[in-house]
Order: sequence, then structure tokens, then C-alpha cells
Amino acid sequence: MRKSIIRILGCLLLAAVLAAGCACAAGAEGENETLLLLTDEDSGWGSGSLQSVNVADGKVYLFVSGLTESVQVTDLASGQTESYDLTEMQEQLAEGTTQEAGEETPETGAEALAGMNDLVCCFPWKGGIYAVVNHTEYSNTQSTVDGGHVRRIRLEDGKGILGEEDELRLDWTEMTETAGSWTNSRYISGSEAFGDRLYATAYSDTGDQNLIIFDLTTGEMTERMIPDLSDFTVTADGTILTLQYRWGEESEQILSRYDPESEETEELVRFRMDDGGSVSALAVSEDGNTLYFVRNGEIFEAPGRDLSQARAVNASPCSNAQSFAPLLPDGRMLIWSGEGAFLRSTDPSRRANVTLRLRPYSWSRSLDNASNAFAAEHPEIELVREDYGDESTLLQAMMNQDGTVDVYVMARNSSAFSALYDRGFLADLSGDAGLTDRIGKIYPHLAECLYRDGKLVAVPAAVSGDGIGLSAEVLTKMGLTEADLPRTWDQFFDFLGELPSRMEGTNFRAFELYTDRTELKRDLLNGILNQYALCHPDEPFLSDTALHLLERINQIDCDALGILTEEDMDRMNEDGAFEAMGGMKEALMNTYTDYALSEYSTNVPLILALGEDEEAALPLTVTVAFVNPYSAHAAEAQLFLETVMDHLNASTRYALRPDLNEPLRYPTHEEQKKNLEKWLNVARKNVEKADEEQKASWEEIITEFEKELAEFDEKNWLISPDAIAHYRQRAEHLRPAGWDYFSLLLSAEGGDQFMERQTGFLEGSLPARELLSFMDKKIQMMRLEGN
Amino acid sequence: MYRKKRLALPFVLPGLAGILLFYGIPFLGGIWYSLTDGSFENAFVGFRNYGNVWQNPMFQLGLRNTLELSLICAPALFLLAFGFSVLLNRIRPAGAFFRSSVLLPYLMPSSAVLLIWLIWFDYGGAVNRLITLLGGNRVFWLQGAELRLPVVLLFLWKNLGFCVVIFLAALQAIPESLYEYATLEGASFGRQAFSITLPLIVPTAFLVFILCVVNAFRIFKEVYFIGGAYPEEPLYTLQNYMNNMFGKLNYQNVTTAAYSFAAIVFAIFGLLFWLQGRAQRGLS
Repeated sequence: MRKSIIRILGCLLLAAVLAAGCACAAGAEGENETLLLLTDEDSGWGSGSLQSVNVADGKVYLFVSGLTESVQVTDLASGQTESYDLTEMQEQLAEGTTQEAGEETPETGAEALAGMNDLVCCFPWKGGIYAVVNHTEYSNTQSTVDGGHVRRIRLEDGKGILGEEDELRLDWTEMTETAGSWTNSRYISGSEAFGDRLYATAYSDTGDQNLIIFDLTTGEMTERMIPDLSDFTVTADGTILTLQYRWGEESEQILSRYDPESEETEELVRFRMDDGGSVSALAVSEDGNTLYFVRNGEIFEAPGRDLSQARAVNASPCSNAQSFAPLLPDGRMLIWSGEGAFLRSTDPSRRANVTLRLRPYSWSRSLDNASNAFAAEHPEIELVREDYGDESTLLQAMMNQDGTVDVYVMARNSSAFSALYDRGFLADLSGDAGLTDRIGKIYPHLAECLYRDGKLVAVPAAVSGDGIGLSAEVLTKMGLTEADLPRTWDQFFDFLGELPSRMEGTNFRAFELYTDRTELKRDLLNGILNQYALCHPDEPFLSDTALHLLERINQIDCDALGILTEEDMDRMNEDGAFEAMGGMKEALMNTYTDYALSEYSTNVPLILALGEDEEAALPLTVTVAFVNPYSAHAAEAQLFLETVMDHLNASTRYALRPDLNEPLRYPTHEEQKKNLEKWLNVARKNVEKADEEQKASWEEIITEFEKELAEFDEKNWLISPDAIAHYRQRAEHLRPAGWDYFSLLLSAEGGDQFMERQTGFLEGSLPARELLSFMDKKIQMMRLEGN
Repeated sequence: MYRKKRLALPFVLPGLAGILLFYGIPFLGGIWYSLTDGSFENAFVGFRNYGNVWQNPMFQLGLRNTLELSLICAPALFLLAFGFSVLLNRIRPAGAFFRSSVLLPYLMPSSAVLLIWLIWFDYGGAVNRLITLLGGNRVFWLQGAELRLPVVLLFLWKNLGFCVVIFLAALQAIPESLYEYATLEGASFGRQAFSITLPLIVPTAFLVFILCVVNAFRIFKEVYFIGGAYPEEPLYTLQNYMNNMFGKLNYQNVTTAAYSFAAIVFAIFGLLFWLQGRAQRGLS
């Protein structure tokens, strides 16, 4: 009896444990999950991007490409994830890249200079992963492609190894394009395997994107032309969902189902862009009745594919999702972009209690960082990022006390922000000690613009400003020091006058080749006028200072400086024209250097004063985030702003905070260095094999690699010590730009007339005095009208 | 009788509700906007906005120009329309063709017509060539105060047809027998015009005049197409001011200017109605 009781109790306990286990498993099944997040934050070009996603045999395959190549495999049943490094596979491909000099290609008999192996795509098939590899051979006069080699990738010990033998040979005949004696492979994208077929898209001669289907049993290839095809995906029944973009006054996206067997197409639904922006992450349920899609930051479910019945079921994890999202058997969608892959529930009952809506009118890296971090740190709050919206209706929304959107992000000098700021439609953030502490760390003169009547109302998300910059490298090569650089606009024009003699016989040019005369003059004109508007906000433009500087713009000797005309640009493609026009020369200056702190750039911005007795002040565009005063989730919105402040991208962080002076390495610095060493070793191997004629060029390459490697630690910085030191000197000259009458003159209201006169001035047909007088007249009218 | 009135109520109510919802409430809402500061606090500021707007030099300029242009355009349009309609009423049998074609400019989009206008009034255009042919000096028609002339002419050309059609309808409604009788009685053309035509068309003439004034107040499209949001000062109208305020998202000033202008228009119309009443009595 006791035994049976114990047995019964044991059974009950086991049943309870099993039930709990099942419940947990069921709970985990529908959860939101991040499979991969490749953040570009502060890492520059090294972090890589997610290239393709495949779901097969209950596993998700994520192929990442970048400084290191890898594939991540997640078993959906167990939830286990394994990552395999494909770098070795790339090395395998690279080994076959350079042929021995002098070897003759069998097809042509011409001397082969080089051969190259390319990884075309990877795809799961028959329980494994396969790669399509092409081999291209180049000679002086021609190139040939030997393509469509399908090889298995063995995944073992955390590595992917490319099989030696071809498992299959795809018919690559139609996958090449020929121009004269040069044959190249057509670029394919969006590869996806289903059953014994490999699907992809490739551009045709006519520029259309066609659907390519390879039979993986015979290697046969078929090509289908689907007008305006943008993307596709294969469904469980083997039919193909296609997405077509029709651009025009009424732009739309058309989702259709294409049956490759019967070659029939059935249109499923049309999305009009002006109904709420473009759609992405499309998926159709297995029975074909329910449509899922992402629009304006949310995942929608449309029963019966009826858009009027669509309801939001979750927030989208990324703002730039791919066109299609695989729908998993548990109902979750696999939404992905180059930055990551996310599983998202389509069950609306699982939505968080609080939905925070974010409307960015300006993009900033900091916002992407913050959105990702916030989603990870606060799963209890759903963050919906609405990228579709009209800035000009914002004030109306506020006047209607509309609290739909909680956080807005926009340029501080936009007219919409100015309208809200002037009328006080910005929530007071002063009570948030977390925010005030963070703001307390930034330059006071930059922080000023975040306050209204002494109350904190916004936080910065990005800073930028374009102006003239000099290449630090060319500057050194020309034997110039910073002491030689102009300090005023007048000195700058003198400097331009002296440049032709300084550059004579050298391999340098004054400005970048593609900066033509009109563009250069326009950039200088706008630079001067913007600065004048900032420094003399209440004074007329027609002043001795502005008049003098504008006249000097038209006195620039463009011929002597080698600045091309628009007609020269048109002739650039003619034989020898590029070299004759100085295309091979290194440029000293450009007109788009960011004088806020810029990642990656080694240019030195010129900080010029309008005159000898004037302070050099430059307008800085500040992108700000602020909370809607009618938001029902003010506390959560402030939490988000704190996250923004904590995840500012490196350049913004350093530009705003004077206390950050430690130089910053790329997180991938060591990998980059290893890569360089690897290529140096490849070059050293090749020099051993090369004949006398090629040896010299290989030695030259090796010298360059060695030099680069020797200087690598010194030069390879995300934020270098020099960049910080320079920025700290010029930071005091930067002033946050506000909306002004000059902005209005450049806008639609005054735009056409001003542009007409600006062109007249740049062409020399309108004197500077008339341009300035016109501006004053218009601005005077604007000013008298008031805001 | 009382029962009948009550029965009518359900039929009238939907219409009344529509008027109230789509006209009455927005009208009153606009007035409310003009009495607040438009800020987050949306404080009631009484007539402060009116004071500010009325003191604004650009509002004053716009109002002055609008009134000046109306004073030129409205009477000119009225007189021309009356003259043309009398003429067309007398032309037979080809009158029907002219009566129909006179409406064409009214139907043409201003933007399409404007291009032709700009070509004609260009410094080297047809108008200046005609002036030089007649021994005069060329004029910069598209700059400064001179720009008013092309704008006025464009306005007249465009709106004439509509007014002529209304006048013609009134003229054709006068029984021919009245003139025949008057002729038999020995009444002169002038006597017939003042004793028959004018008293019978006064209500129509008044309507046409009101329409002329209303249209003249609304001169904006022509100015905007030529001069943009900030045209030369002599052409800056009240509509420019309101349009620019709207562009700057200053709804308070837009509504204040609009209601101020509406008050002026109502005052003018009140005066016109009073004058009409007196004229009608005098003519009777």
C-alpha cells in the first residue's frame, strides 16, 4: 500500500515535473530572442555584417562576412547555438588565388597573371552546408571564368573547412557576362536553397533583376524574368514569394506568388508607400491565408491577406529588415538585417505592457546603439521605432495633445524643432538626475542648446558640421606645418593663391578631383554665409566683410589650382583624360571634412574666422532626442534618453565630453593587424615563387605592407590621440546651430529665387553686392514677419 | 401649423449638424486659437495676438497692398464685365459663340497661363516691343512696383468671363417688351438704361461687385507664381503673410490675421449692402 502510494506520488511528481518542463518549453518557444547582434558601434569596418540567413532541417544558419567570416548554426529544437569560423576556408580559397607566374591557361594559351577564387554563396542542403565557388583567371588582355563549383563545407572543431572535391558542377554558362575579351561572373544575391533547388537573383544585361534557379541534382540553370523584382523567398510548398517595387507618384510594393513549375504568378497584395511607408520582413502562413509584415517599426498580422484587417502583433527589432522573414513552425518570425537576426513572436497576447514609440527624423548611430541596448536591457518595455512620419505635422500633433509618439529625434536647427522649442512643447527633463548628471559632463557651451528657460528639455544624439579640411598626410608631405595654415578666410584665399607655386612639379593637387568649380565655389559661399549668419545674427549680409569675402570667391584662379569645369568632368572617361587632368595626384583639401570629431578621418579641419578681429565660430548641427510632453510613458521615455546618452557613438561621445581624452582603438584592432600580417606572409611566399620581372613589384608590395605594419599601432585608431588633441583646441569655436532666417532662405519658401541668384553669382553674372542685397531684402521681410 | 414645424425639424437637423460640425465649430475653434498663445500651456491672451499682428509691419504691408489691389481690380473688373456683357447681349447672331468663349480663361489653370504672361511681359517680350514700336522706353515689368500691372491684367483676363456670364444672364432675363414699350413711349437709350436696365439688374450687379471684391481680395496665386513666398514689396499681399505664417507653423498668427481680415471684409460688405439698399430705394 505504502509502495503504491509512493509510486502514485512518484508518478504525480514526475507528471508535475514533465508538465512544468513542457510549460517552460512552450513558454520559451514563443519568446522574443536575439540570435545574433553585430553592432557596428565603434568598430568601424571590422565588425562584419550578416550576409544571408537560411532555415533548413530545424536549424537556422547565419552567414556573417567581414574581417572574419563565420557561420552561426542554431538548433531550433534544443536552442543550442554553435559558431564556426570560416576564415580558414577563405584562406583555402586564397591559396588557390594566385597562380604561378607564366603558367598558361588551358583555354586560351595566354599568359596568366593571376587567378582568383571567389565564394559566390553558401547554402544548406542535404543536412550540410555547401558553397558555390568560382575561379576567375586574368591576363593582360582577357579574363575567363570557371564557375559553379559546389563544394561541401565541413563544420568541425569550430571551423568550416572547404571540401577539396566538387560535389556538383552548376551550369555557369549563362551566369557570365562578356565585354570584349573580358568575361566576368554575374553577381548573385539572396541565395536560398529549398529541396533540390538553389534560388538566387542576378542582374541581366538590361539591368533587371532576374530569378535564377539551379537544379541541385543536375546542375541545370533556369532564368526567369520578373519585372521590377526586388526580392524573393521560397515557401514550404516550393512556390516563390516575390516582391516587386514600382516607383513613381504612387509607389507601391507588390507581393506575388510565383509557381516555377507552371510559371504562373498570382498577385497576393499591394502595399502603397503612402499608406505608412515601405514594408519589409514579409511572411505568409503555411496555408497561405495570413500575411505578416513589418511596417513603420511594428510587425503586423493580416488575416485573409486583407490589409484593412491588419493588426500590430509585436515591435520590429530592426529598422532596416530584409524583405522576407522566415516564419518558424512555432509561429515566430526570423527578422534579420545586416546587423543581426532576431526571433519575434507573432502572438499579440505576449506583447509588453508598455510600448514606447520612438520617431526619429534624423538618423544617428547612437540611436541604433541605444535601441538595441534598450531592447536588451528592458524586455518589459516594447520599443517601436517609427521611421515613417511627417515632421511638418508635428506641431499640429502637439496642439492636439497627441501622446502617441513618446520620443522624437531631430536636428536642433530644423524648423519643426524650433517651432516646438519656441512654444515649449518639450517635456521637462530636469527632474531626472540620471540625465542631468550625464548632461553635466558635456561642454557647457554645447549643452546650452539643450535647455529652455533653465530646464533641460533634450539630450544630444549626434553632432556634425561640414567644412574645409586638409589631408594630414599630404600636408606633411608638402612640408607644411599647422603654423602655415590660414586662420581667417582672407588668409585662406591668399593660401589658395600661393598653392599653385607650392604644388608645381609635385604629385599633389589642391582639391579633390571630383570637386568641380561650381561645387567648390558653392561650398565656400555657403560656408561663409552660414558662418556669417551665426556670428552676426542681427546684422545685414551686405557688409564690408561679407562683400569682400564673396568677391574673393570669384577671384579664385581655378585654372592654376587645377580645379575642373563641369565640361572637364564629362570628358573624364575619354582615353588618358583622367591622368591628364591630374587624377593620379593626391588632394590636399576637400570641402566636406567633419569639424566635429570624426571617426576614421585623418583630415585636419580648417577653422577660419571671418576677419582678423573676429572670433572663429562654426555652426555645429546637433541632433537631439526629446520627450513628448503628452507622453503617457514619460518615465520610460526618460529611461530611453539615458540609454541614448550611455550609448553615444565614440565620435559623438568624445566631441561632447571634455573629460574623455584616452585614445580609442578599434575593437577589431588586433584582428586587423593579424590580417595585415597574413597578407604580408602571402606576399613573401609569392616573392619567392615570382620571376625576376614580377619580383620587383612583389618586393614593392612587401615594403608597403611592412611599413604599414610598422606604423599600424601608431596610426590605426578609432579616435586617435592627435584627433582628440586637435578637437579639444577647436571645440571652443563650435556653436550649436539654431534655426535662422538664412535656413528659411535656403528652404522651399525662398529657395528657388535664392538658388537662381546664387547660380548667377557663381557663374559670374550677378555681382556679390546684388546677391547680398537680395538676401537682406528677403531676410528683412522674414524677420519683420517674425516667427 | 405648429405640428408641421415640428415635423420639419428632423429634416433640418442633419443639415444644421453638418454646418455646426464642419463650419461652426472650426470657425469658433479658429477664434479660440487666435486668443491663445499657442504654447504648451496654451494660455488665454485675450486680444494680444490681434495687437501684435496689427502692429506687424508685414501684416500692415500685406493689408495695404491687398486693399490697394482690390481697389484697382474690383471696380475695373466690374466695369469691364458690365461693358462686355452689354456688348455681347447686343451682338447677334454670333453672340452665342462669344458668350461661351468668354468663360475659357476662367477655366484655364493659372500656372499654364502664367508662363505666357511671363514671356509677354519679359524685358524683351511682346509688350515691351510694342512700347518701343510706339516710341516709348522698355520697362522691367517683372520687377518692383511695375509687376503690379501684369498681375492686375492677368487677374482681369482670368475673372472677366465669369462676371460677364452672370451679367448676361441678368440682362437676358429683362423682358424685351419693356424696351419696346419704352421705345414707343419715346424713351432714349440713356433713359432706358437708367429706368429699366439698371433697376432690374441692381441685385445681380451687386452680386457681381461682391464677387469682384472677394476675388480681388484673394489675389495670391498669380503673385505667388511670379514672386514666390517673398515677392517684391509692392506685391506682398495678406495671403503671403498668412501663407508664410503657416509655413512657420505659427497658427496663432495665421488665425489672427485671417479673422482680422474677415472682420474687414465683413465691414466692407456691410457698407456695400447698406449702399445697395439705398441705391435700390433711390432707383425704385
